[in-house]
Amino acid sequence: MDALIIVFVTGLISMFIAMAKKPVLVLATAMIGLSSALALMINQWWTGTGFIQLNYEGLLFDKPSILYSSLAISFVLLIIAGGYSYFKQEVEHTGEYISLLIFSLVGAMCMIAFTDLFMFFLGLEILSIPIYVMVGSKKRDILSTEASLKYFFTGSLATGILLFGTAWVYGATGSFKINEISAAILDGSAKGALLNVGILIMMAAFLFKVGAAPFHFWSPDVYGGAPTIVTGFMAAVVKLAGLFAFLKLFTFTFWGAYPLWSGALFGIIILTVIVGNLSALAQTRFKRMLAFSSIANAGYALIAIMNQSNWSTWNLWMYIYGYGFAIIALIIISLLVNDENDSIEGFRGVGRKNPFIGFVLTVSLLSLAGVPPLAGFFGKYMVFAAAFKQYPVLVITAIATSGIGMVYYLRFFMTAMAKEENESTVEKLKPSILQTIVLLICAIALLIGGYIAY
Amino acid sequence: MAIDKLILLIMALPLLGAFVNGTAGKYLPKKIVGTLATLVMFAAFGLALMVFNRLHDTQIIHLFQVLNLDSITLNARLQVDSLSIWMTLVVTGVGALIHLFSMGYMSHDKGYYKFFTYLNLFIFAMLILVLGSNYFMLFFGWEGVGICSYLLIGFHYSDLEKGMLNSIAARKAFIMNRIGDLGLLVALFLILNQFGTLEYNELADRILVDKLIPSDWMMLGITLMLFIGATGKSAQIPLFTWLPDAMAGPTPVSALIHAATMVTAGIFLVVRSNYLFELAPTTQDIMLYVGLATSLVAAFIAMRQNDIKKVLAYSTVSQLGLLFVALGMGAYTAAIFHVTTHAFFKALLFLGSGSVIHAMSDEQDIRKMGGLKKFIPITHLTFLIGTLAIAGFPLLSGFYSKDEILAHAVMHNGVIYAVLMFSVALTAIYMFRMYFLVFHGEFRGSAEAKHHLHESPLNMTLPLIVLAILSVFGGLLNLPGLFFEKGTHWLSHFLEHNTRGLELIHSVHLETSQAMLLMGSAVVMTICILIASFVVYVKRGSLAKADSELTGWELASNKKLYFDEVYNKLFVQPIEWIGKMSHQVIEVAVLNKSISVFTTAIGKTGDLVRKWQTGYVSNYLLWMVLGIVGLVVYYLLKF
Amino acid sequence: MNSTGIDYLPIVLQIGVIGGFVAFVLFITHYLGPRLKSKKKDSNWECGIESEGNARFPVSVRYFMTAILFVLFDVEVIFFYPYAVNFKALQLEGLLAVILFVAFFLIGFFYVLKKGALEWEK
Repeated sequence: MDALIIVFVTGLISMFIAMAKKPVLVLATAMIGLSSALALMINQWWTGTGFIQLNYEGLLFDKPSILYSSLAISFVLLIIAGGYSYFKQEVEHTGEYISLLIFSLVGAMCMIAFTDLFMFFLGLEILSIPIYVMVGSKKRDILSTEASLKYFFTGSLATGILLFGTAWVYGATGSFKINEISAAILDGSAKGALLNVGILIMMAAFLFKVGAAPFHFWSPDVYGGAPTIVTGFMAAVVKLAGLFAFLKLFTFTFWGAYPLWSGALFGIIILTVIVGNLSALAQTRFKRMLAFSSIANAGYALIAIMNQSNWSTWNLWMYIYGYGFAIIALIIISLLVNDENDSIEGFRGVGRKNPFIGFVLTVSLLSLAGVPPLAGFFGKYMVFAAAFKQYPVLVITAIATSGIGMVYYLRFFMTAMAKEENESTVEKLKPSILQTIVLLICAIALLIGGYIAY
Repeated sequence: MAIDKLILLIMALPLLGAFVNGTAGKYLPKKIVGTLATLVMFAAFGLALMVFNRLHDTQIIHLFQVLNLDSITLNARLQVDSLSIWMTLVVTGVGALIHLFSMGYMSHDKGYYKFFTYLNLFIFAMLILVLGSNYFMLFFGWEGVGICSYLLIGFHYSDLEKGMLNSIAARKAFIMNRIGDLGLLVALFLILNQFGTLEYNELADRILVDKLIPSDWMMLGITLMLFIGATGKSAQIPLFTWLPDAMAGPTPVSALIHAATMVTAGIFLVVRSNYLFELAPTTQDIMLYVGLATSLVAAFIAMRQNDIKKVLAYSTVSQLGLLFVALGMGAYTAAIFHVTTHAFFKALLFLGSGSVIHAMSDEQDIRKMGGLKKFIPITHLTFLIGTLAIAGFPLLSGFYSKDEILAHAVMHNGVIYAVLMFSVALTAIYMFRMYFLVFHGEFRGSAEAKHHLHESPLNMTLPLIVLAILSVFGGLLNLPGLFFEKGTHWLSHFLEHNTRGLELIHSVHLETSQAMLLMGSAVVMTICILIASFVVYVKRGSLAKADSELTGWELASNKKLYFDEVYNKLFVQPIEWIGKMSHQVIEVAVLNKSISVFTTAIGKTGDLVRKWQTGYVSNYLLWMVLGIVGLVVYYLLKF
Repeated sequence: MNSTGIDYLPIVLQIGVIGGFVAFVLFITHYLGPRLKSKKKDSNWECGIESEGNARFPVSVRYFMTAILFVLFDVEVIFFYPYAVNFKALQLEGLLAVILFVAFFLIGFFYVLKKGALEWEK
């Protein structure tokens, strides 16, 4: 709880500090605030209690929540540090970017630690609204504006759907608290169409948030149109919060209705992995490819939610760990390359010209493709292995489609590492010190992923 | 420091050198690179000496567990006993001298730091090989030295003229060794299958103490496979043709890897597994005859080789054959003795040839040398000592070690002794031929080359001198019991002291008169050959003929008995044919077709699915609503 | 309340009738009614009058800003009604919560002022 407050206050302060028109101050505030929040999280992990004891029943930071929150805070730290050189281009709006990112993180943390549906909804909105703004923050760019509008339309429909579903569930169980809902479903006092349809409708809203087919259409457009760094935030942090909330709500709260939603999810996962991977094959733009790949990855992550294992929470965490660090590294490299059309061709020869960036790029792409011994492999392996007994068809489909996924990751890799005939046309990238550090952290995190998984 | 710490330090030092040079060597000046690599070697040698002084009983040093399954446990462990510490001394000692030599020899090379990285890495791998306490570690080191050997043979792969040939030689060595490695691996699996362990000590306990001996056939299989492994690394028939080609590497490499240390790994393997071989007399016989044949064939080929390094290479093969004869007769300590002395004088000869090549500005053909005596006196003198030592000149180290093997041969079988004698005589003949052609007579090279002739710098001649001294006095390690009462057979006793299996083999010594007779005949023969060679090459001044003038046996010798050609016809071409056919039929016609059909199908589907993404937000919303409708329909249908 | 499949028959029928009607009407409109085609008619935003200038020109957002901020603070005031009713029952804790709530809004208001969103003439 104390970490959440610190994060929120950090957001506020950085918003006001930005008035001084000194971007570096904002950066420092944000970094210090988030780092101390991270420290508080770690403290709570070891001691079991935070420094502030607030008796609020809406949020509870238990061990899984701390694990996921810490990861989310780390992601945001890396994103702010890596994107700083982009933020400070417009001194007017540096503080807004950073504080919006942090407010969004507050929402993500609420979504992670919620104990009643009310708080969950609040968290979701706190997460989403800053993103609508950030997606459209390149005001002169038509694509960015379009993305923002599209995201807002679809997002508000999803919000409506979610509220609608919540209302049904409330009608069936008479409670917003996830404990009570869970108990009501398990002891059979809440049954029938009211509950079931409510759960399915809520699921639709969730599938929208994590971007699973057929609720995924927004993501390629929004990912493609949004400023690169916001794309990274959405891919890493929003996915994390959405997936964990999904996990918490469905495998815990709606456990009693497992046969109902698992059947639906089964079909949706298969559709998602196929659509995501196949569509990504033919993309020529980097962020669009990333968007389809993120759809596919959401499909794989949902498998962790499908399987009835005590380890799901941990497996999903590991999966997101591998996915998030790889995405952040790639996003920062794309920020450095800064191709105006954002085309994959713009990366040609970059990795060869800049050995360090080439190395990070290699590690991230191979991790995404699921090559051992990188973190992405362990995430995938743990998720797939846990689900294989129960859902062999699902896992086989997932593995086959991730074979297709290999194609576009490796093709991108080949492009980036290609030997350019005319070396001088490839520019030497100049990452700032912060970006270098972020890339290094990402690479190390991916390399030691196996050790953490172990 | 305790022995285990010292041993770890010995292992760590070359690794450290390789690491520093491999990572930062590019940015360091050549002096530092070379000095570092050489210093770690000398330090390792010093530490090895300390261990050697303190060692009394076998010590096992547990490092970590590699694999732990129900059926097998693999440990990374080191074992220090007489045999392994003796090999360590040879490896680090000779290695250190060769490192020192390389500092001068490679001084003009671009890949200086790379060279020393590989050399240090090689030493590390070799130490794992000899110090490991089980066959798994041995295999690890075995492959490690193989890799280093490959890298070093093809070291000048980017050379404009000979780069391609160098790479081909490296590849040949690697592939040939691979065949042997397969044998070794099969042997390891058989041992694991039969005894359930790869640890030397446990294995020895099962065989020597518990007498858990599998069937004769199994023992034959295990030892034969071990022997195949040894033939690969130690260049025996039929896998010996890689070693002469391996001379494509820089000369110090030939000295260190392809003469003094790595090629003796096969000998080490057999000595280590002596109790296994003692149970398989058939394999011992095979080993004996293969060794004998190799020794003869290689010596014969060496007779008419004109490349200074090729002669030495065939001589190495021949000496290794001799060693296998010794192993086949069960003379393990004699073999180790000869390995040691051979390491001294062969390293000396190779380094000497390196010094000659250096002086001749990279000319290796002995027909273009001659009369080098006055230009490079130190090299000449040390080379002479090496030649005498390998030819078995009285009182030099090679004399004693060869004599011991010959003595065993006499006790074993008279015919073998005679053939072996013949091989030894051939060795003396071609060595003297080479010596006289290189150092006596008139200089036959170009005037420009003559102008360049110079003695090598001190860091190259110093190792020569040290090795020459060792070659002279190396025989003292294992003096035969003829002249003295005490202090004889020191090395044998040392090795038998705590090497498993060796203590059980009682070597019978010849009677004094018989031994004197043997020695006498050897001495007489060597001196006769020396005089004859002197007369032929110096007095009459006969020279090596040009390739086109050779006939009869000379041609056969010069053409290496057509081994390469036969192998080419028998193995290489059929395999290439199969490869070509499978490329055309399986790869192109079947696999490529089917895969391309498959990928096209996926690509097409991808294009189809992609069209779903229309770009209209109204469509998106429609699909979302349809998705929810779908979910509800699913519910209605299913529940 | 047990329901069998047959009970849903009316609903299914109804859905069928609705769907069929929609499809029928959509289909039939293509054939009924006259079809006139001309370049002008098929162009975007055709309303009979020649379009003038570009539709995409910047519009001042000041009015919009003021309006949306008014709505925000208006909503804030609405929250005071339930609080006023429960003022006694909620005790000190309630007061603190409301103060916090108002404080957040004030911070926002302060930010808006600082950013100059309410300056009409700039």
